[in-house]
Amino acid sequence: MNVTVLNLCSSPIDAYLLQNYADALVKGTQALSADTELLVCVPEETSALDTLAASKYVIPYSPVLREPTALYTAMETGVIRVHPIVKTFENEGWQHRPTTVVTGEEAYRAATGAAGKLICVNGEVKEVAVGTALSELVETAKPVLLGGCNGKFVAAAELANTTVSLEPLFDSIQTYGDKDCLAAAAAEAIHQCVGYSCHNCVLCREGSWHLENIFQSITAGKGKKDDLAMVEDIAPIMQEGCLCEFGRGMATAALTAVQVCRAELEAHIVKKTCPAGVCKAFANYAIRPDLCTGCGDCIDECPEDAIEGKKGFIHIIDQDLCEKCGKCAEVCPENAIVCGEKFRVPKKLVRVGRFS
Amino acid sequence: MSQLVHLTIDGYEVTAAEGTTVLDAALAAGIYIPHLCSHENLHPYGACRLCVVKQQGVEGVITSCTTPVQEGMVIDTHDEMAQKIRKLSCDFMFKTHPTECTGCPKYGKCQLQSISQYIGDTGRKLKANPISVAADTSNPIILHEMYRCILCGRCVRACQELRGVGVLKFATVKGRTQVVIDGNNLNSAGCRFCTACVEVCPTGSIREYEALAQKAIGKTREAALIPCKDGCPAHVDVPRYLRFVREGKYAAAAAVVREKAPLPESLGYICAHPCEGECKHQCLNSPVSIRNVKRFAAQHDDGAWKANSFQKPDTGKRVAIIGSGPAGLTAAYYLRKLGHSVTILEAQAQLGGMLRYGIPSHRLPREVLDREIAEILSVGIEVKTETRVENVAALMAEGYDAVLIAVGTHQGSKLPLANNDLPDVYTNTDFLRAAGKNEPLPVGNRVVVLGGGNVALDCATVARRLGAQDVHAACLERYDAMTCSDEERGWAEEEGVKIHPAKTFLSIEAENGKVTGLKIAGVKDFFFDAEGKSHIELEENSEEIIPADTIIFAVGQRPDLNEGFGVELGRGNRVTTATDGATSVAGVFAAGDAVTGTKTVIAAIAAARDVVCAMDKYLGGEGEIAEALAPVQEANPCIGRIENFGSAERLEPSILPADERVKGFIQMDFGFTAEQAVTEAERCLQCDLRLQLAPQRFWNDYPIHEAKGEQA
Repeated sequence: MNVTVLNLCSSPIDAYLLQNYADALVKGTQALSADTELLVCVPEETSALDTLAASKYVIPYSPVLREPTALYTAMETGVIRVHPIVKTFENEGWQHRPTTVVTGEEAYRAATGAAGKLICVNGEVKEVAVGTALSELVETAKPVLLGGCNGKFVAAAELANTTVSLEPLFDSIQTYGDKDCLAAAAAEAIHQCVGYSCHNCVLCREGSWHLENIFQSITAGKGKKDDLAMVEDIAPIMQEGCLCEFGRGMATAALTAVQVCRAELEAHIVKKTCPAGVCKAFANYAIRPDLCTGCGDCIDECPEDAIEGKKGFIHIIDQDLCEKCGKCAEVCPENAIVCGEKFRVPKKLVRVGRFS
Repeated sequence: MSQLVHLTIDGYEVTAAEGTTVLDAALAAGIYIPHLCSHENLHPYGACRLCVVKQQGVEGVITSCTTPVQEGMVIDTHDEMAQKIRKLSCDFMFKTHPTECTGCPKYGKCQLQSISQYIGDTGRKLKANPISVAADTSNPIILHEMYRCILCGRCVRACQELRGVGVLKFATVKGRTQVVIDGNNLNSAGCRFCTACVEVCPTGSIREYEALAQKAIGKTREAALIPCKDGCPAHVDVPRYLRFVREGKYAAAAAVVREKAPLPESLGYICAHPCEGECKHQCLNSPVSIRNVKRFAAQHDDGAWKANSFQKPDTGKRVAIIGSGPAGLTAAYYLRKLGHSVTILEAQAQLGGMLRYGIPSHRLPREVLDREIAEILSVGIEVKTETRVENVAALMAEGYDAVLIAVGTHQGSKLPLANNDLPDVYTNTDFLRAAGKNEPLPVGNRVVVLGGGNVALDCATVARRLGAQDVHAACLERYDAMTCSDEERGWAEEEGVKIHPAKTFLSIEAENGKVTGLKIAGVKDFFFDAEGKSHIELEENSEEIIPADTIIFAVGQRPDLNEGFGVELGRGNRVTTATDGATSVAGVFAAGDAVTGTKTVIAAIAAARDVVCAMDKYLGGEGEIAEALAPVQEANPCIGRIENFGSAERLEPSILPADERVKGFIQMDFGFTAEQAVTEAERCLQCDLRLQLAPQRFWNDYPIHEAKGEQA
């Protein structure tokens, strides 16, 4: 008997459907799996699909699982790993049974007759007609991230030219505002990819590490002029050379980040500032001389002993020692410790109220 | 029959069977495509990204190791993007792998090194990402230096897919994938120590222990991989017959031995088993008790091998063989099978040479020897006993076309000590020959044997059986450097033989023409200089006298030949031969102890096989004696996981208690039961399975490659 696998582990939409439309999933799956042995993969233990009476596999969410070979390997060994030879389920003695994978959204559509694409827009799932331009969905001045960590960054100007299709790329849209740092967003996306990579193919395993390394050094203020060129050098090769779509998607995310977020990335590298004020590496904490009461609470709190001061004197942060953890600002009873503001501070200890 | 598919690779027309991958089709056609995770014996993996190629009409690149050939495919292995991908993959791998190759033991044999030379360095300034994991030197056979690992997964697949063992696996350690042991250590995890992982590892990550690797240098692949077979002078295929025993096919096992040695059961009793000295299991605890398994197998020989034994038509040539020890018997057997008319000339009343007149009957039961000699003679060999040959030329004159001197070393030596000519002073050969004839020389109650080899211990244990109560063996060597086997010394000591190691002999004490003792002194140190002269440093005030009624010299023996024999003799009276065994006289050959000095039965058999080839060629034949007597064996490579496999202790045969066995010349070693033989054979590491794996190849092994052609 052929096999049908309901895969609810590879898309944020699946989790939403499992929570809100379990009945539709059951109905749709039944329709799509007639005359086959049904197996169900869920990201966590649930009884919502028990009426399907299918063998259940609990496999943690990973976009890599869109790759059927990774799904089969995970079902059989518990380890998510892309394995090009495992083309169908059940490789007992390398004999395979013809297998079809059904996604949650496919089952939902089969049950409800819905024609649109379910899209998770900034965490909220909406059904959107295929062909809709993204500019109708979101309004933003900054680039957006389509399809999660292994998706792609799209410039705001391009949103009108980008229309929704049923591809997994349109599973999610993440927008960014003035207080969001795109360098940090790119670094976070690649960081997630490092965690998801099955580590089988060299380009994805090592490439994700190098890309993460580059974006993290940029957000940590250690970015170099050549960093963006390096991404533009290796990412296009990874886009072609990675073993599976996940790795290629990761390379696309990294490459588009450089292409459409270049100004913000260069600000980190060249001007050594984070325009959104998010990347702590660029933040300078300082104590406002007009507010400090010289209480010493911040001195006790600082793990780096970077704050100089004594009772009744305006305290001073040594910028060379400061690790920008922000703990001082949290404990200051006067809210005198601020970040990113420009004002004069004393160079040596001055009594409270004497600095002007 | 599978369909043939035609495709074009780099302009070359290539034909491959349907189902073949593009990579395999290219390699088979001699076209090199870089590849690392792919291995001939393993399922494709697609991980290394080196084998990507361009297929005309297909967007992007394809992975040649996982893509089956299709009719009309046009493949370009030098596509620009494919080359970029290869270089990037290679760059990435070298960011985790140590960059300095020269200090690596795999230098020059490393596929990663070879590929990086082929692909070239892009000079990309990527950050190094070394794997910080210490070398695991805890296993005495397999060395893990996983900081060199590039995660190609070949070892994991070989262990899992080929062997069904699965002690290696991928695991995430501190966020990074590594190959780790699925358990605390290889042995407890269930490793079978087949070293398939070593065979397939392209880098220096999983290697054989340095000492083992050193031993392999300069040897053929087969000799290096199967040390027991290599260690046997006759190259008996040990792993093959141990496998037959495991499968319960005992007669087939015996036939395997017989392919190389015609006295399998006798060897089962008394072989010096150099194979066990090489067995890799001793790295784990102790070697497989190969000899005892062989003995069990030989005892269950059903003669089915005879159907496969060759017998060439008569050649009309006559060959005389002087001596009927293991060398003479072996040579007679094969020369007769080659079609020559063979006559054995034996000085003693019975055949067997040292097997009968040297090795005492409590170690080798005479009915076993008689049976195996009869088997050999059954091919049609003429025997003349009590016929001592005094001169080779006279013998040749009797119309023989060739003569083999296989007289062994039947003349014992005495050291130049005072009183060494008294009647109570014997030599080893005289003493053991008399015992072998059942006409033992009389011994007193107290016997001292001079010497520390196996022959000396044979003399001592024979003396015990002849009634001597107080038996000593004194020798120059330290206890741990004695030339006898530990097993035989253990038995002798159980029987009450007192060993006096590190002693030199000063004089034989005597009164009224009767021996009263042996004066010895302790030796601090001794060595032989370049001329072979011994230098002995005595311990002060260490002289003592061992009281004795009988003295037996067991300090070496030589061929019982003289100048009148008519061939050139060399040092120690040994027959001088060319490497093929030819002596100074045309048509006269020599083999065995008479050429080499006292060695082992198996060495004599091996030498006889070699000389037979030379003699057959001399007589106009082809000198071909190889024969397949055993049925074809299909060694199952899937050996499965057995926890603590390497800790299985060596089984010992049941031995008659010492106080029982000194009562007479009764058999003392009862060998293995079927259960013991199978259990012991199961300890075999099956080193020979590695030969089933394809050896690692490099780009210059393929005729069509673009050496350095891909360099930027």
